Amino acid sequence: MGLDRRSFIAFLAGGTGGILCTPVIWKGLDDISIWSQNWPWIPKLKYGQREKKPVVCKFGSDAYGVRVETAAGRPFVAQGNPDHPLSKGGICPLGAASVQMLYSPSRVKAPMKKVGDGFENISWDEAGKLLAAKIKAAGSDVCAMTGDETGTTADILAGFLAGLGSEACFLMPSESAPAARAWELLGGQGMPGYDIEHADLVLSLGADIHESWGTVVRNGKAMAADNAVYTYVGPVQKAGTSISAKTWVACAPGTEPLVALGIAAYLINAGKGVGMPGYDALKEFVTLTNPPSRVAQATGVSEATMKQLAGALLRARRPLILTGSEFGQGADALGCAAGLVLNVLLGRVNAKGGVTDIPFTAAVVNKAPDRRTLLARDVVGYVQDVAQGKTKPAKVTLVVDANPAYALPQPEVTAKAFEKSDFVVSFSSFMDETAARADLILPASYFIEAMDDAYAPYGSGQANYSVSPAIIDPVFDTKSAAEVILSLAASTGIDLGVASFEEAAKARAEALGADWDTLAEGTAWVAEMSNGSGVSLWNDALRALSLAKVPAGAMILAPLARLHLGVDGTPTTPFGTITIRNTELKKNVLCVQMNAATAGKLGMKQDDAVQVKSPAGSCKAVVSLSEAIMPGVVAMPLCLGHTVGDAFSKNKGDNVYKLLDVQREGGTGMSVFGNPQVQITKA
Amino acid sequence: MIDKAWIPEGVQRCSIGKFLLWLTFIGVFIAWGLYGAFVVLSQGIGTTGLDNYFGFGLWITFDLAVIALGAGAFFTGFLRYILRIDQLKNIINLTVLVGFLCYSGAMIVLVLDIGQPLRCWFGYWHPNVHSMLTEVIFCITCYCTVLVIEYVPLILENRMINKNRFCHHLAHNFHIYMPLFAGIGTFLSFFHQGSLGGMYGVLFGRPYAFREGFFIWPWTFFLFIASAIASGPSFTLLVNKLMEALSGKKLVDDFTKELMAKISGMLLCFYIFWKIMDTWAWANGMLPKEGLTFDQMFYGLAYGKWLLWTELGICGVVPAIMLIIPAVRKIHGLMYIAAFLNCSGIVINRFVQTVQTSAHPVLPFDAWQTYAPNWAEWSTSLMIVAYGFLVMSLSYRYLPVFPKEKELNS
Amino acid sequence: MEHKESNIKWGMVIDLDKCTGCGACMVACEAENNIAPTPDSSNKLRTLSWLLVYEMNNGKAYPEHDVAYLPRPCMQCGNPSCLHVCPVVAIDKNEEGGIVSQVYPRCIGCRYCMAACPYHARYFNWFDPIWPEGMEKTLTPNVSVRPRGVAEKCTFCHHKFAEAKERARAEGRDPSHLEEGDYIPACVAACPNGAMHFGDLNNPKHKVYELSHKPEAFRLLERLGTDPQVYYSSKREWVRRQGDNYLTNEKTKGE
Repeated sequence: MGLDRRSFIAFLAGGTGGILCTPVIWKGLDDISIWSQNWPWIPKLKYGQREKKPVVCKFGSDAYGVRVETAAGRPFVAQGNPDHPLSKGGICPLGAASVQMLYSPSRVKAPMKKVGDGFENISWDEAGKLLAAKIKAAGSDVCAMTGDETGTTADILAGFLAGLGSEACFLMPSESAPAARAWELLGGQGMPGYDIEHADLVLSLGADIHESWGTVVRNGKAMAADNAVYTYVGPVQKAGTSISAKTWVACAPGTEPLVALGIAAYLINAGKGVGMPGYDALKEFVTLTNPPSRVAQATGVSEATMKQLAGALLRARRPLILTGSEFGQGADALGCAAGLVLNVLLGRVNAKGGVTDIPFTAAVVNKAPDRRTLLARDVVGYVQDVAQGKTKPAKVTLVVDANPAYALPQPEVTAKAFEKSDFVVSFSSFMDETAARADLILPASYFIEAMDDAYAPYGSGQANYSVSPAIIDPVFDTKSAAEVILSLAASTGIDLGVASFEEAAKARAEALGADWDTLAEGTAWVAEMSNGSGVSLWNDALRALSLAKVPAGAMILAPLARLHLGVDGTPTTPFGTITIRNTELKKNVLCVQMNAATAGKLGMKQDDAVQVKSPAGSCKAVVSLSEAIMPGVVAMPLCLGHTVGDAFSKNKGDNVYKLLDVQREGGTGMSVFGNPQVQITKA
Repeated sequence: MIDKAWIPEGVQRCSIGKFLLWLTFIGVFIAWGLYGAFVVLSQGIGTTGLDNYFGFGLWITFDLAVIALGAGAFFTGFLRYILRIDQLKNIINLTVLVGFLCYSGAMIVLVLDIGQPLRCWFGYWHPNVHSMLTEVIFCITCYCTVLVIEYVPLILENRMINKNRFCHHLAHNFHIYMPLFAGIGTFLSFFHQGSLGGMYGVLFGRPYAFREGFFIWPWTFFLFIASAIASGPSFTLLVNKLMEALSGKKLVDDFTKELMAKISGMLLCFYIFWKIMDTWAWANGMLPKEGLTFDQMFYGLAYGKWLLWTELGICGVVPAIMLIIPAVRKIHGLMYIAAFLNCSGIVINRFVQTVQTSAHPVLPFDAWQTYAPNWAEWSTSLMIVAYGFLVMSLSYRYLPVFPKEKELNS
Repeated sequence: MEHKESNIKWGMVIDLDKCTGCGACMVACEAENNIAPTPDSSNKLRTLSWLLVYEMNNGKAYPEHDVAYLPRPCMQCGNPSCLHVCPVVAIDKNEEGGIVSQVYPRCIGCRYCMAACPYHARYFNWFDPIWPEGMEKTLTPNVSVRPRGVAEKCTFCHHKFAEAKERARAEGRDPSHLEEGDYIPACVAACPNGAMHFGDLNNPKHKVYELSHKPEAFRLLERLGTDPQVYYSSKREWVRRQGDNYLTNEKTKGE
């Protein structure tokens, strides 16, 4: 068959046209593009009526209002609450990730009993009976720990223990305990409060106001208002502290409060404090006993710098000095007192932009000790004593909303203490190191699933009270820890005076003179600024302040607290993992930050694998050079190194709490920890 | 031999057993590559070594390199059918074959390289007239079709298939229209070789690659065309040499070979001159305007200056000079070395234009990153090479690829 | 390349003297925009971080060292390098405010836009997203969930813009004249330190207008000609200098 030109073209054209005329191609392509948008394994969106419900976010020791946005009642994101005085619309990295944690893979979904090496699900009924039986058998040999510093749950817990005859109810370490003690020593009635919004110069002695000290989100908003100049005294440079050139004063780790003594000397020389109670004793202490030269030796801050700082404080109209730990806990009370003394010296107590006195709340739970008493109890000391056999271990240990097996300094010591207790109960929303060690895990409802409250988190300017309503029903078989303890108290025959958490919270509101209905809607109650009684410049206990010289050639650890990595009770969140920096964790190995000079002295360079050893323990790390660290100091981030959790929290670095050895503060006997000397060797 | 009837008349081929053994060897690479492709298509491109800084990696470098090297097809076609250099008929089939394999291979890699292969036709249905890549999509698909059309007659001329009258006449008609297809192919090729260069030259956010140009076409547009046509003939020569080595036969006459080398050399001289000019203008004119220095464009070993000097010098100027000197061309050893250097230079060029462009951080507070392809990328790329060997082996065995083979081996 | 002009120009001004690098913005962005959580983020080049906070320093040794943090969303360029290169028109610069959007059902995943963007603001779904069991119940409505193989990036929470316009309509206000604060992206709303500001760069009543006109305001890589709609601000010269490439003898912007 011949094929001429015409046929050839006809053949080609006809073939092409024919194919294009069938629906196969067009329908096929259309279908393909629809399939490629709708693969069944990609989750679909759900819609519904939108609402924004106010709740209180309490992951760290900060507690502030946020709004959870819901669609048809389903919560999907947490945002700032512009109306809340402690956040003014801001939110921290944990708050921003909070709603998603409702479904964290680590969520404890039902009560669990330890069976052999693992856990078995049991019913609430069985769990309740088991716990009641253990409590009955324990008598007064019960101890409890909670991380909930601001909530009524702590009162319920402490009241319950008191009812059992036990004084061993503790709060986890934070900035509050040393501050409470310090304020008390100086004659304060309640807790020191800080009117940071109205200060025009904020001097931070160690206190990391944007990550771990006080009302972090509120502090940020205060800085945002551009009313003050900020200076930070500490071993690690902070960003965003100000607009002026030199706002970082490098100071040996843990010694920042001592700088207050040096500054006090210059302020006294400039005529401040005359006639104030305790003036003579203070003057002698800071000009003769521990003059600025001694302070300079102990801290590494030069006398000239201290004089400069004093000058700035004198020129400022509303200076405010904040003293605390570099990482939110472990600091000494006397140091805090030294810092508070500066505020007194400058006449900044009960002044606008200064230090206030925030009263403790009235008791609403029978037998519950007041906050001052609770704060005075030393959980670290207790755990150390139990582990070392100096104190009788408790038969039953109740841990509520805390992770001491991870976050107390020297976790192996905590482990030992727990082992000595017959029955450990963990009230936790998430599976963590403490829950893993527990004999009974009682799943606590998550913060949006149960009512909670917060009174004046440390750092507040005046008394305030917020109620966080439950905005959804629990998604798993969980209960509010407070309700469980109340029913346990009832079954043990202890009358706490309240039948439910809500009743206790209402009583609290009434005692404060706050309107319950407004509170329950999510509006915070804020008191007028309180006029506390006079405080003194001095307490003899301050003589115990130690000004030891920094040992030559020593390498001192400065732990770093970073909210985006987590806090004591909450590891890195699933949504927070992307914020982890290569200078904090590199290829899942913890980083030890140091400057080039320090590294040179150690014979180390960037990315060297090392072992960091302290008197308490050792950690595996990798060198990360940073000139933001002063010489002779190494900085390591906390909240990594979890061994229990999920893919988001586990196997990321090492736990720096292992390195923190514990000392007792001279003069108060409180446990202090945080800045051990370390040895760094190549791995 | 069972398949004697399928083998072209008058030529020798190895035993079927030996051939099957050879195919099995090739098959290993194809199998490994198919496994890699399966992993990539079923799990996602995350199974490769690509990342957010290196969206373009081995696959794109490979694609650009084979498309450039496969330019021998269109350019030889242009010279043979449009400029009527008849001598080239002795090698034209080989160039078409190489071209077909390069382009079809690139298309296969692209199926793996785009995140949503089912949407590949969107380039036609939702084209972006401003995008060089739209132009590339249009042209390479059309040109691949042209190459298929140019390859089909060769298949139809298989001794057995050609016995069928319809096929015989179809092949005949294809040959009559071949100049038309060659012309279309030339037009399309110029554009997409250029657009491939244009893709990088228009990136005004990437100082390493960005160039000013003529109208909408950056200088890289023209440089890519020039480098493609300069290296295409060299690549054809190298493929031919490889085939001669593996088969133990002479397939193309010396005169044709040397002609290809001369064409390659002349075009390479033209290209390398303009390339050096462009590099100088970029380093001294464009970079300082953006606050950058020449030194800042290089980093470490993978993105070092040595690559540039190698590309321009040992793999540019040197083979250009070698290939235009008749005496050097006559020494075939040197001719092949020059061809190899020429092709290597073009591969380096395609690598730096894609990968190094992405490696440079641009933001002053950001750092250089490095990229290394992983097994999924290597296996799939080698699969394409193996595919080329496979089709080439089958074509050599059964199709009259080389008109002069019978004469040269009698 | 023609600039696409509009009456409203949504933009940001980020104060680098205030940013503490806390990361709340990054987390808020991730939660708002239905980005699946990343179990192992050690490979930063494979992590979806539409907003990424960079750590910067002045290159000097202690004690002259200084540090800053820089949050980098998509610049929503006035002359986007990505827009013109997409082969399938999967990128759109909106006339009502200049937001550069990614059209997920159109994207073929060629990653050319990623190669084009000098800010590394574009990300790719290398795998299908994996949501821990139950966590998909916290997906934000109106934000598409992306499958693997498509590119994505910061959208200035474009869905919030649409929601703000709807609210305005429902309240009887003009949706094309929104009040400052009607529409704020999640990151800006989250920032606890007042470092981020958002609004209409063309509107003298908006804060960003004032801030973007100050001498200490600058944009990243301005010299490339991208015309970004995100401004940064710092009184520190070394910070501004790292906003662009400079030859040694050239003066920093704002000096």
